[in-house]
Amino acid sequence: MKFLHTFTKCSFLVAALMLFCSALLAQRTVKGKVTDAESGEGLIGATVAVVGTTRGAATDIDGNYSVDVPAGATQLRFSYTGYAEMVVDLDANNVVNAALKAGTVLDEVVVVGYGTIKAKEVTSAVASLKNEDFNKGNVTSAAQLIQGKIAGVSVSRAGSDPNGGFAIRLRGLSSLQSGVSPLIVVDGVPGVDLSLIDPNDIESIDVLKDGSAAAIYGTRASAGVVLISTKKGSSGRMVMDYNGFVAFDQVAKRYETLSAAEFVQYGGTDLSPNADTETDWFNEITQTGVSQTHNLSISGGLGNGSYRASFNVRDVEGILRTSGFTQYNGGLNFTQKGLNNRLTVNGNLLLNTRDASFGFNEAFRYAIVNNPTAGVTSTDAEFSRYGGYVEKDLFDYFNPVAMIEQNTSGGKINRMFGSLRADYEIIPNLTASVSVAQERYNGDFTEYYSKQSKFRGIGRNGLGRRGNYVSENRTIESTANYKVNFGKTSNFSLLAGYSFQDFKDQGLGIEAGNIISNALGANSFGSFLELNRGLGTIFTSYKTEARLVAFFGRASINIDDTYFLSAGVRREGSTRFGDENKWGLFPFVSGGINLEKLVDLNDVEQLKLRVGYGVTGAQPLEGNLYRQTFVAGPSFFYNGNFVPSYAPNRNANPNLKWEEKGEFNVGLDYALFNYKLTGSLDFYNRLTKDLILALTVPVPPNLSSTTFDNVASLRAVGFEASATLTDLVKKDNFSWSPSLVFNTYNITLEDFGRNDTISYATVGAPGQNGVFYTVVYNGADLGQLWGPVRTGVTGDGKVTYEDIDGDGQTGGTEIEGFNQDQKKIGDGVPAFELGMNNTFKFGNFDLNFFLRGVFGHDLVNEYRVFYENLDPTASSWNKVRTEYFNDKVTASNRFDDTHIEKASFLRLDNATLGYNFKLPSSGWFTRARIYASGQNLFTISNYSGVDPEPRVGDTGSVDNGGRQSLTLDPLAPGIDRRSTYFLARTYSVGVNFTF
Amino acid sequence: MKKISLFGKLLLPAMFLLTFNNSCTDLTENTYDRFTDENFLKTEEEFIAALGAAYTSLYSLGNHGGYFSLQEVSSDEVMIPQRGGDWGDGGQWINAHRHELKATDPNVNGAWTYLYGGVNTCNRLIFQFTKLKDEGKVDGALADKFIAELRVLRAMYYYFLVDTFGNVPLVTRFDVADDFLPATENRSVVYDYVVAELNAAVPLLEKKSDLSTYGRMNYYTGKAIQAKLYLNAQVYSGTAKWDECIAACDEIINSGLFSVEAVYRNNFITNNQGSKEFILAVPFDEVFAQGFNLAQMTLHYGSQATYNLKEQPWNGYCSLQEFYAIHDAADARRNNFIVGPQFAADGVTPIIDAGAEANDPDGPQLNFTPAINEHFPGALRQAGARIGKYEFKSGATANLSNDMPIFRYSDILLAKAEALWRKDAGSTAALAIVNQIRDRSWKNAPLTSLSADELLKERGREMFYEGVRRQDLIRFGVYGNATQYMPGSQPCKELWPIPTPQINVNPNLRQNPCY
Repeated sequence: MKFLHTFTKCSFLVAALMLFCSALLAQRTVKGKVTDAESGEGLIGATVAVVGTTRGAATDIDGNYSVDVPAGATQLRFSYTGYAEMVVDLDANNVVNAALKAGTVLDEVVVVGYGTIKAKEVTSAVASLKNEDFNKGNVTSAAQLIQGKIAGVSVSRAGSDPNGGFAIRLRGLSSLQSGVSPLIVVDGVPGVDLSLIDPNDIESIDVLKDGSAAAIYGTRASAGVVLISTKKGSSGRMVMDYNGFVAFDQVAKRYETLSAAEFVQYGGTDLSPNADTETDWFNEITQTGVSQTHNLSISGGLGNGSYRASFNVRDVEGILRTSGFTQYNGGLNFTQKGLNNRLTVNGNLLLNTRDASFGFNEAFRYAIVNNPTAGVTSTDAEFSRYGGYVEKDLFDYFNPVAMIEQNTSGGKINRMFGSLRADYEIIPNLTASVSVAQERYNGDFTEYYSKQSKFRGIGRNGLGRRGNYVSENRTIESTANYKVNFGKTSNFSLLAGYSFQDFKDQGLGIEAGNIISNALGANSFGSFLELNRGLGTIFTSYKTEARLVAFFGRASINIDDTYFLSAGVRREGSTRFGDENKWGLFPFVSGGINLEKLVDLNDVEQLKLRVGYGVTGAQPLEGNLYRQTFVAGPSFFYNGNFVPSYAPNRNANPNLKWEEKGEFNVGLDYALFNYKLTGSLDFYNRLTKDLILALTVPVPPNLSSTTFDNVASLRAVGFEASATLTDLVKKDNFSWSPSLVFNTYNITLEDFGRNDTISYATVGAPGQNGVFYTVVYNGADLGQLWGPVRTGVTGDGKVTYEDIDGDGQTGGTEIEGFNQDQKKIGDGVPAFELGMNNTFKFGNFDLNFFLRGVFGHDLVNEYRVFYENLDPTASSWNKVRTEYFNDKVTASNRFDDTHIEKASFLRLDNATLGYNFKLPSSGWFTRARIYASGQNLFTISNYSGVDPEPRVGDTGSVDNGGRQSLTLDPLAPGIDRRSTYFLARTYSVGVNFTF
Repeated sequence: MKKISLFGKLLLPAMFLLTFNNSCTDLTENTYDRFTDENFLKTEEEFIAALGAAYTSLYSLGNHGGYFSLQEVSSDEVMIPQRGGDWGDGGQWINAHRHELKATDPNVNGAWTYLYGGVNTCNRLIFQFTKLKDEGKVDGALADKFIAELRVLRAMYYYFLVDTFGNVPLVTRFDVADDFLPATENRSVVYDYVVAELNAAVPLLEKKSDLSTYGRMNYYTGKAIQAKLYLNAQVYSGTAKWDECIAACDEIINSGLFSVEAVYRNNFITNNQGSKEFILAVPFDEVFAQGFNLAQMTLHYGSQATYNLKEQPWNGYCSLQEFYAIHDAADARRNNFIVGPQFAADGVTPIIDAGAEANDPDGPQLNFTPAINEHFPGALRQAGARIGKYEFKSGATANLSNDMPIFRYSDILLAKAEALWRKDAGSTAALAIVNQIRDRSWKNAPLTSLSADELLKERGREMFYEGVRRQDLIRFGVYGNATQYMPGSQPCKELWPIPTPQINVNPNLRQNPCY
């Protein structure tokens, strides 16, 4: 209600602003025809806009239009996809015809914060990707559409977990808080969850890469801004689109392990009931995942409006048996004009419901280490307590088939997004807009572990777990836009706006065991006896609220399409800071000069130099970090009873404020040889300071050893380049258009808020707790891997290490000095990344293949760290048998430099071959296409693990059925943990029909 | 006119924007799911809940890692050998056992932050309670009682600190400046503080020991801290305080509130609450007061079947063969160890360790042997007598419900006996006390005279795994003597190193000698 109250108050002002001075001005009607300049044919559905107003019209089937023009208007703008925009001055004549010429990339519209501009007017590092440039194939997330396509944007997911999210990183790292990701803006509404948008419904994706572009979004823009425009209907006749495909996921790579015979030969326990039992555990848990996706959309115009409705169904299976999901997406979008075309109302409704089965990623790990001489099931009495699955009382050892067959882990996820936006032309050139949006998420997750499952279940006599989480965001924004054109090639625009956002989250999670029967599963929580005995756990229970309020403004000027300048500021406040630090100021300025206009250069259509600087921020991911809060601790025995105890969980820090990133960007946009070669170069240098860290403070005098403070700073310096060669080869029916993106960066942790070197990212159990993969210190380049250096193997199978500190003792053989005998032995951050897209056209065939490479990074192959040596005391686990396997080594497994591998790779990410049918213009179909696509077809890499993809953050160590952290720690990149879902290769075939 | 009108049309909306009313910019943070300074400590129930934080930190004494683990593993009664790929853990447990702790070992920092966390919670609550009392917001008598308790509890943490790190900073206030970085005080200064603080605060506590003070500080708990502090006074300050030790013990003995349980084991069963020997015990409970993980820490993976444990144990802690050997077969206290072949809960089905090493002399059947083939890295999975002093209830969760004594009457009796013996090696009173304790568990084998060796052994048998062995070895001057898998150590290794992470953030701290 409070929101509604605030909304009513605040929107009243906006409404007043909009309705203010709505006196009608005199107007007239202009008519005409829009044609293709080359062929003279009429263009259907071309847009005619009265410049400076919201009024416009679309052409009919013959290219004719009719539009109401208010008295003050002086120009008409004609646009049509694939054609250069045309602006015509109005005179007394009421007939205006336009012949449009085939367009160039410079005329394309680019979405920027709170508006759109033409590509040629862009003065900051903004990348734009249209529908036709997207990745094809078995795409299940919007992030996949742009993977590898935009220089400086890295989209990664180690492994092919169908329910796994993609990490989007813009220009590397901008915060040390785990989970900081780019701000997603959908059709102008900031803060939308990317999962809401079905990839099929996306028209274009624009990415604001540098600070001068992103700063208009303030405290949440440090990790970049991704602007998504959904497909809209266009006026004219109804169009139906069907897109469907079937995909097959296969295991792309696996670890070789010891065979049953080798396992026994090397001292492993022979568990086979008869001598020839040999189980390929990996085969037992994997499958060819068969997935299908269907998308149907209907769009068209109705009177003075248009609509688009879409429905998507996805049924996805992963390579791990039992992993996958079924998802339904529905979208409805409408645009309606009214009040003499001065009012435009746009509504958007998105619904998304997913039924996920997660399987258990742990099954991969235990499939690798499980004894190959053991059977999967057995009728022996010994195993009846495990439901007939062969299990042994060993540490960190589970039957992976039992794990996935006996237990379930699933989620029902519902997301809803609705927005309504109104643009009202107050007077020509001045438009006011107000938008209201609401987003809602509900995730309900259920796990059940069988009474017979060694994994989490048997000890608790059946274990259930259920969590329900709800998030609601509401946004209201109002803006006023003023734009005037001077002549045909100059313009000036002003933007002012107000934004209010409210975020509410709540959740409850419960875990309990001891149930009478597996038949009830986790469906009847009252049946878990542990709840009656007080042994159940409420593992989470929370309710939080946060608000963001902002005022912003921007002024832009384009002088003669030659000089461009844009500057502005956002002032934004957040509830997540103390009283003195709630408000932040985020200024930005950028400018550009198109040199081509000043100097006459042959074969140069554009050569625009851009320079920009902007400040963006990041707020804490949770509230109350600035103050001392008290949380429930264990119970306290008082007067014969246990009573609650409460203690502070952190020290107060009223000075806590937003993280601040200042970014300098200089870039060059070019178009050469009659637009055959287009692209841009960007160099950036950015300093993110006041990074929020949970700081370790001296325990006396502080109460808690944790204080959240703005202490760290990161510097990132990088370079990005992109180039597209349109029709590099063009002969008869054949054409080839390659494009290339490149980026490189270096990140330095300039300040870590403390003066010492700390060990970081524990290796973990078995046996390597207190051993670490990396160190963190002031001035460190991020991504360093630290450890001892192996010098050799002795005759009796022990490992010797380099005496790095020169004290005469070394790690492997002497405990003394172990921690000192370490140095940098690897680098988890890539030197550079490369993407190459190739589009071939031959008659009705088209072939697109996309090569992606990441170079210069190392990975710790953790399977080798734990399961490589033939240690007789660790004989219960099978060993991985990579090229590094050495049967002479019998020492205990211990992390050292030999486990770090070069992981540079070049991968054929995607190849799609399509055929477009020639269709008679009188038929039902206007377009028909079939295609076959392959993803991850091959990878060239020396890495012996399954996926050389860089690991951008660390999931931490788990063992013996413990729970994996869901967040990635950005301070420890480069560790290929044992919890990774394995990599799939995907083949798909699909059809597109347009009716 | 038209111009002005246009101007007006622009100006008025701009004015609207500027006069946005306050609710559009309200950024007050609403907090729903936790207490803040503003809404906590309003009722007596909350007041008691706040006191609880000072005591619940004691629950960490029962789990793996940190203060108690270091006390045990650096003595000669407990070790964690590296069992092949398991329990290497960067060498920190090996370092502890060999008296070669590193200032960088995570457990050393864990112990420090644990102890000072306790000190600071007491400081905070004393500060808060005093303030609330001064503001008239709580019952003054209740506040005074709690404050006295907290002072004695804080003194106990300082007793632990003076015993382990020795030279440590004294922080006795909560309201210190933001940049306050306390400096190291010499061990004797810290000792003097504890003495003075106990003298001042213990008399303020209630002279009773019943359910109303169970698990908390009362007069006799304070006396027990004094007794143990004075028993070790020579080590801590250079000056022996045997008479003061005897006086403190006598107040406990003469109170009539405590007595020696008829059966030693009864002190350590699951339902041991209310043992007549407990002067202070941590009131563990599998539901309310979790943290006593001994079954997990010491038992073998396969032992899960013996006790029907809810979770698989970790196969870590065990005792040393030399220490096990000081227990006679007739001594009931040999049941403090679990040795021999192990069976499932039915008592007949042998447990087979599928991961048993090829060089395990008695094969894969789970059999705990007092002999430990090597310290690291190749200790056998089944090697070592396990810590069976506490009853492991069938069907136990990872968190045992047995209460864990910190001060036990038998320890006080033995402390008095030792103090008497120190003053007079021929003291018959001392001999009588020792034999009283000994005879309970080891019938018909009384000592005829007391020697340092016999006294230390008797303490070892009686007080196994109660966190005092390291202190006893030091007091008897034998801590640095070579023992099993400990090649001998310098006297300066009796103190633990000040953790590197603490020195890094507080330059006023001084590292202990020889670290």
